[in-house]
Amino acid sequence: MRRGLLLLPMLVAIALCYVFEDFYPLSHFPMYSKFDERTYYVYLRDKQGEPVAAVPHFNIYTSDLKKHYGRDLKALKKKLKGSHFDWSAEQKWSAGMETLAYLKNERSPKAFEGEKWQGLALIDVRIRRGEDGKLERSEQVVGVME
Amino acid sequence: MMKSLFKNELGQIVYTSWEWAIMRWVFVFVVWAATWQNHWLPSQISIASFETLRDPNGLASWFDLSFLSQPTVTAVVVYLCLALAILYVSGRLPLLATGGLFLIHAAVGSIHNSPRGHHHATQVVGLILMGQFGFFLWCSVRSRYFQKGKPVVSREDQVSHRATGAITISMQMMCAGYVVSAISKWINSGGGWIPGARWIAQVPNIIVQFSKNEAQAYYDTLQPPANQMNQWTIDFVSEHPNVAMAIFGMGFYLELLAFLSLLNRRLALLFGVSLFAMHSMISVIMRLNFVYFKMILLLFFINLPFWIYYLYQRKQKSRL
Repeated sequence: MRRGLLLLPMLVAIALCYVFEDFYPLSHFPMYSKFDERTYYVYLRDKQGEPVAAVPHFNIYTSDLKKHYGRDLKALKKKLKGSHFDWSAEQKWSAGMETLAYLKNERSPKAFEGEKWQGLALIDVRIRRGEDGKLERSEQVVGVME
Repeated sequence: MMKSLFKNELGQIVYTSWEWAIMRWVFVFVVWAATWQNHWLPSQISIASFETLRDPNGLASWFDLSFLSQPTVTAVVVYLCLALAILYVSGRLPLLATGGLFLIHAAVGSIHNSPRGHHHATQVVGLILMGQFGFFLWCSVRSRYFQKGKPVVSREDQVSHRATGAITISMQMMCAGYVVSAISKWINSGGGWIPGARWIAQVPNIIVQFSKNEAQAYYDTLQPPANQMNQWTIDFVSEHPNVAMAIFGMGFYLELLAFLSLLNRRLALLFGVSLFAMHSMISVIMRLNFVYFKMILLLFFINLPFWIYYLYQRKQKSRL
């Protein structure tokens, strides 16, 4: 019993991490805590339809861009029902535009000086593990910078 | 052999002052890198402010910390951190050193790790600083209020007691991180009576995550991947889902049972090496950087200087 008490700090830390979820530095470390058979990511495409490297041009990783887009999709859930995996490109459009606005106005305003990136598009790619175990992929344009 | 491996020595393990000194020397660099996003020179350091505007994480959600981004304030905080780091390494005023470093790390970390839920790389460093600060706070409270009239212990015993406490609490904080991560996997994947069973059953779906990571890495720079590990793993998991479940299942139970490493030094070494191998494997396959986790495992769990000393001592004894 007395020896068990020595583990009290660890047990308290576990409880705090679990209750607070994300309150730096407390965390419940939810990364990869479940594996759905589907996921998604985003990337950027210029008006010629060619992919654009996010890091050198906008100083952002596509994983971070996806997180912003994901949060904007989550905000849409209040208005639209069901899973965003079932939404059309039109339904996801406002989230895509919000993400592009974040990129332009907050993340990399310098990169957008002039009209260099007019027509920059955000592409939403969905990946699914099919019944045969193979991967299926589909993509939609969910926002275009004017 | 097995009996000795699982012997419960909780509360009996004694760490030496030189082990704690080595750990402080190395850990302070880990703290610096985690706090200042791998910038080593004070002149290179700046604190981003734009991220705090959205869903701040930690102290930044309670207080407006945007003032930290002002260059003069940043410089003051950086040099204060440097002074505390030197104090920490010296081993003097540990309550002030750990408390100050924890406060700076938590404040700056709450900005750099916003929005909430986006980053989980440096939390373990903050948890360990929090644990060390809590330990030295407890030592201070205990000596002031609970040890009056008790026999005075020697200076040597006091130093060893503090080294043992600080190292043990650091390991406990790391274990807390692993255990809570396993609990999140258990609960978020659907719970159930057998811990992790549903998470392990979902492992074949991990190929969509591998594929996503590979694509994201490509669209970051438009450079094709440097190695083919990711594609190899996708093919392997697709063709051998049961083997993949067994391998990932071991990883889950390593995390859930990480607290067993606290029982004795041999288990700490075993868990340290196993968890280090697990992170290295994930780093290669998923292109995720676990540098802080690996450094902490190397320092506090694997603890090479002790084992080198131990083997040297044994060799010396066998000669006699």
